[in-house]
Amino acid sequence: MSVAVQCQDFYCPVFLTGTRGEMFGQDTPKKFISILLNGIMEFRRPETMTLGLPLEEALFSLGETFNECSISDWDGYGALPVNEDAFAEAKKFVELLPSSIKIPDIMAEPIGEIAFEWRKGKNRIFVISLGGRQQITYAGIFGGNKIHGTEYFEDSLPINILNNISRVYS
Amino acid sequence: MERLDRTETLARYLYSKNQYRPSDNSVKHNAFIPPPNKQLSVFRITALLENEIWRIGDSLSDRTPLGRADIQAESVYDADLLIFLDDIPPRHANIINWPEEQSAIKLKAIELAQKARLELK
Repeated sequence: MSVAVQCQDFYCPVFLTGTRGEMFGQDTPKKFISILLNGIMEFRRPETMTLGLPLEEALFSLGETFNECSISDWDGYGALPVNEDAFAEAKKFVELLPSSIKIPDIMAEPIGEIAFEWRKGKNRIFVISLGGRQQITYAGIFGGNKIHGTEYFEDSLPINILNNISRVYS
Repeated sequence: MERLDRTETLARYLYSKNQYRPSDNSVKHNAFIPPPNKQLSVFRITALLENEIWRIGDSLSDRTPLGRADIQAESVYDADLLIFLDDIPPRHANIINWPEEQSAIKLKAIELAQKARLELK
């Protein structure tokens, strides 16, 4: 039995890096599931976040943004309100973030989307936004390099998005 | 279209605390995301006194601006955007020529926010 897992070094969890002998013995299924579950729990425990705000604070900040920006014209220039679909999708995105990734700055955009921003200084910035349409719109500046595009988002974080977040701090 | 001198300063009034970051005195990119009509409202403030600049912001809405993002016309042109001077109301202009793709708009908004200076009221 073999399991192939693409693993980016900066967020590769412990449960995917064990040696072959440790991971796949006679009691593989039971042991693997146990290690997997422990790893997932480790991922999801807010207090294990060593960088940035804990998960609860990120969700609180998300809730505050939603409360402030779920009305029309929240910016004084006719902004569209952030709707519940955008909020739910943004919440799912935050909850899926590995604990090794810094919790972003959270804000609304006048097109009714919720945006997350990671930045290091003035010249390394990566921004994504979600509008409840299973799509992530992103743009970033990494020194002299500029990128932008979209990614499909449903149940897992796109690898391209995770790589660009890590690029901010590399 | 009349072209603004590159050294002119434009102000984008900020009515939501969601648009700036007091912790490091910076402007967030969302302050420069245009509305669906893709006309980003700004005012020419070169040579005006501070109280005159704030008076413009006060007159635009029932709300009082919390701050403003000041940006040089040069930064707008460098982002391949244009400034349309309509003077309605006086000193008003719109930043136009935004790309179609929302991700490309986001990138330009980030570039403008990078170069903007936050002034809090």
